[in-house]
Amino acid sequence: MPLLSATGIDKRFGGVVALHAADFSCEAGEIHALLGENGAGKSTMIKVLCGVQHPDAGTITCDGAPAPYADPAGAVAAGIVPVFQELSLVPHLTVAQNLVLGREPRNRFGLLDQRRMRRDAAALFAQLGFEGIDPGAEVRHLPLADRQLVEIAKAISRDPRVLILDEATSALNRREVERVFSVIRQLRDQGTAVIFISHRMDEVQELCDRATIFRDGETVGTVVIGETPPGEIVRMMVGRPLQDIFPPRNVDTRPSRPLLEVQHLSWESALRDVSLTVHAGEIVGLSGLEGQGQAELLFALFGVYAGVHGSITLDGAPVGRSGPGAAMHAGLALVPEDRKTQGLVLPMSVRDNVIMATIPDHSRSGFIPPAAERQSSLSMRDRMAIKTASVDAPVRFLSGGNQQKVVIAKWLLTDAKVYLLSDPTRGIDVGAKLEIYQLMRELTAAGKGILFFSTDLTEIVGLCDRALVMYEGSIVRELSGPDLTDANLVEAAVGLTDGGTR
Amino acid sequence: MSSTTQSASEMDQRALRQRLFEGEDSWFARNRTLVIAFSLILVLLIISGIRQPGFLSLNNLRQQLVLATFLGTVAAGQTLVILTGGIDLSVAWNLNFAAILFTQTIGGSDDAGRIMFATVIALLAGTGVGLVNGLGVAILRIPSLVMTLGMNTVMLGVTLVYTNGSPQGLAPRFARALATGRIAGQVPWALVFWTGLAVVVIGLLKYSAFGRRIYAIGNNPRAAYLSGAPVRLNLIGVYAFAGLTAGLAGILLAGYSNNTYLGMGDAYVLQSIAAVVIGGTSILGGAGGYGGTIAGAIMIVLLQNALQVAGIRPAGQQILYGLIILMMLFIYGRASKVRE
Amino acid sequence: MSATSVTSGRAARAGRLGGMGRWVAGNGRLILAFIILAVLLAIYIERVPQFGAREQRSVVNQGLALTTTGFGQTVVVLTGGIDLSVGSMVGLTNSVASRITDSESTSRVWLAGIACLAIGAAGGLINGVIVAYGRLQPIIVTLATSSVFSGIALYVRPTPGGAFPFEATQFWTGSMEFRQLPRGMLWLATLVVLWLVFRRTRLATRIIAIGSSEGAAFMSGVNVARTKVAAYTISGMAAGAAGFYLTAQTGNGNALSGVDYTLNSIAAVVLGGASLAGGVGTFMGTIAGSYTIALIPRVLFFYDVSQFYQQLLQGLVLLGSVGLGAIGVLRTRNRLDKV
Repeated sequence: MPLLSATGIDKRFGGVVALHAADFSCEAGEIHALLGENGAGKSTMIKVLCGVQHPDAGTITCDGAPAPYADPAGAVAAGIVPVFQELSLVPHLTVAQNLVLGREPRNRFGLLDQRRMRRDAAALFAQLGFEGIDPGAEVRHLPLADRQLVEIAKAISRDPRVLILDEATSALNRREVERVFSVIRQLRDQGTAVIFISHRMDEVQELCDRATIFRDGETVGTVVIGETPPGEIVRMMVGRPLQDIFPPRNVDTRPSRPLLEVQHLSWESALRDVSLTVHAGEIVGLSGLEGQGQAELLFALFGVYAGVHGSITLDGAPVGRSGPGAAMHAGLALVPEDRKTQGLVLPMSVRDNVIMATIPDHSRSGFIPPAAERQSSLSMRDRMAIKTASVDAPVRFLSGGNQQKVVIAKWLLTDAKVYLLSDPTRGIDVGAKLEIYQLMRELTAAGKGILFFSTDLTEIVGLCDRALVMYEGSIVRELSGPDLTDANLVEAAVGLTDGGTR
Repeated sequence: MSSTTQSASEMDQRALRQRLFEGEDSWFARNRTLVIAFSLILVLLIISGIRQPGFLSLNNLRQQLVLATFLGTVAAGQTLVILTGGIDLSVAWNLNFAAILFTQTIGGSDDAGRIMFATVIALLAGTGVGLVNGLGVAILRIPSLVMTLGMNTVMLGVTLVYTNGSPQGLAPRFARALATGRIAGQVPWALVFWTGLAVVVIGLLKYSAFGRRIYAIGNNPRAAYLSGAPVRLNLIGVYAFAGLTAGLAGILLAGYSNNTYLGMGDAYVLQSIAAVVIGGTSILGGAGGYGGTIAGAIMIVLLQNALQVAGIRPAGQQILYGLIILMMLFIYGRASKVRE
Repeated sequence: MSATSVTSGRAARAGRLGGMGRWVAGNGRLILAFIILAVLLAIYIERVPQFGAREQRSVVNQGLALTTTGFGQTVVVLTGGIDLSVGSMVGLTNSVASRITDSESTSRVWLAGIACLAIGAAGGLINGVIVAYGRLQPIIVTLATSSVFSGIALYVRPTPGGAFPFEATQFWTGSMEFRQLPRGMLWLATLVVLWLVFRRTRLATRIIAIGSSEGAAFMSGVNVARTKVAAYTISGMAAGAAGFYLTAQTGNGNALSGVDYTLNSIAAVVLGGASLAGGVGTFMGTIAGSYTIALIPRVLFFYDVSQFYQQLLQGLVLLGSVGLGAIGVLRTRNRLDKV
């Protein structure tokens, strides 16, 4: 009997279908992968299983009986413990305090038993083999990789019956990943079910017993890892030949001029001696483990950081570094990683958001004629096929994909020369994704350049002319042409030396 | 319900009603708090009119509106500050100092040049305080609560030192006329002034680039920054404006009471914040506008008058005042969920 | 998200100095607060003709009510909230206490003390419930309740009055046998002990968690609402205790006696290094902040500076201290954090 299962799940957000008649089930004592592209429905299914979201239709059963929980706390109490990408650690508390938050141990005076907390934390890390994490350190001082390890440790300390890991290893190097895997295998052998979501097929192959593949919000099927060839799994994930998803590359053999030239860029300890060039009509990809400097590079180019060393020129002219305004003036545009907190002002209307980067262009003597902004927003809505009842609707009512389109529309209005895209298709539905790919091709056909960071390897392979793999703030490998494959990207991502050092 | 023979005008009416009232982004939904605020004013007027026979006389209503002008002026700056997610606690002594600076500089003379000079430096002083507030908040990232609180204390000190504890000076004729006089004996100059201010502020907030950025900053300063908005400059401008309005109110009040005294601005801090919040602007920033503040200011003045006339002691007035603010918050909380 | 890994640089460097180095790096504002206090205290002691029992009493007593109020404000600020009603609560409990006590009975003094704590707790509870369950912003809720509490205080004591047993006043504000130290030090010491104990409770950890990241606290199963209610109740009780002390100190009840305490307690908390965003702050800092505010008038007195400069200096000290602490912001390399 399956330990945890969901049947016939429907879930819509606004007008977008996230899941449709989707099924999933896992047994005790197995490591079960959840696979699918960005927007296929994996995260939504997990959230439904954990009580974070309620399905519009369908049932969830636990040990054969209807799920006894209705919210995340209840799910954890029932033994279903998730580790999400948005970390649940409190920055100003120590590692030890975070591990026991909500069930802190007390001594006989009723006060916190801090010694016991520290001891337990140290013991837990020793047991799991996570080295180098100081239980007394405040979480806000820890690098991302350490935080991920603490999150995993915290989840395991809750004695889960079902442990869910949603991209929980994205920042870990080879050695740390091995450690975590060996812990997961131990849990499996003890009867825990582990649900594992990852973009990295190699890890899935290595770790998992079975996999359920999602596509376009539906369950495609469940396979046994050893028995199914990887190519078949990818076909199930993707549903059509790669050529059909990603718009064909422009066949233009004329030598194109360099647009964005970056030389010896350094900043703090996050970026070290980065040099790259983006030519007109080219899509250059940034890849590698998460947290290696990709997002920082884009911020540095956009003037968000002070004290950036090195040179940045666009079309031969130096790009001002005093802030986004200067970068925009030079011809750069940045679609940031987190559209909700960085890309959009959610409570404001579609119209407001669309013109937000071009307010001066829309203004006459300091005032914005309503007709001008209406026209811009309507034409952008049509051009990007943004699904919204009216441009006056607050942008927070739109689906993730449409929200992202608003962000992109905002930047299209600036007529920038080089577009910096920071993981633009994260968490959006497949339909919107395809449209964004199409748009990227159109931009390059018009002679623009794109520097594009994505955590989805198939996108890097399918869209980019060249890919730059980053590790610890520098570019360690450049791949292009026939060398640009999933496998090569992964191999380059884990660093030159095996295991990597932090 | 409708037959196919509905007349064209009926359909127009239905469409109009729909656009006004139905759906998430209808006019009514977006301006719900404004509607509630003005409805409550109506209720207050009716109740007061019943309890106090002379209340609804033109004279009295005019008087109330003039009183509301002073509050409304201070609250204009407070509205902008609160819209950006901050708060201005320095209005009390900023106002006070400007008023005293104004009257003491004039020193009883009737010379137009001197009066103009006094006006200018009083406004400059107010704006200057606001500028300092803005610099602290925008550049040093000092929380506005602390920054404006500190400046309030500083201005209290400056006022004490400047006046040696006893303010002097009378307001010049023009200020008195502005605050208490009328055009053609009917429309108070103060109201003309307030109308002008309202047009400027509402126009600024709704249609100007600056106004648009204020809302963006109040909701999500990071996204505004990443879209190229000059966030720090905008913030400094907002606080400077708040300082200017405090200075303006100081001059008006000096004219109204014909002299200045220590503590004349104290009531305005809480009242201006209350006016803004009762008017439907979210204390967190990013939602609301000056229209609501106008309603809030009028409501507060009417309320105080009503309580006084009803014979409720100051103690009771305070209690009711607080309870009503809470009640309004609850009503708005249910009505508009603009913040995530 | 991934850009946050960069901010660990400074702390990591401090970490190499060991735990002590780390503590210093992370508590600059607190240390600054004590330095300022030490300087003021040094000036005062140097200037005053003699620093005997009377002067010591005077210094300690001057800041006690504010420090007590600050205890509660610290707790609330740690949750990321603020309590603007503490001043009114001080006035209210002061007024109520003065109605209970007379010039003779000691048992009435005890009764008044209990009443102050109870009323403070009740007021704080109301604040907490409205903020936590009504989901309204603390700044405006406590602003409204402060008006309500003031009004009630005015009902209780329309005009200042009341009496307090002289011996009791002497007791609370006097000197002890032991080295003639001010008895107020005991009150302070009690507060410090209470804080140290509080700091080691689950409640304190949860309060800091909420202030640091309410979302993460919620995801970890912390009952956010109940914790907030507790925080505001503590604040109310602290204000009540301050009101009681004020009654003992002045022998009098005045509805408006708490007027300065609201903003001064916030100033004290901020001077002491707390962050109004929540998650950072300690009562020790608040003590430093409160006494800094209390000492300024005294120090000015000795420089023959007109009392009119007192406020000015208080404001400048507050701004200066906060400004200095904010200089760190200027050095941040990530402009997004400065927005």
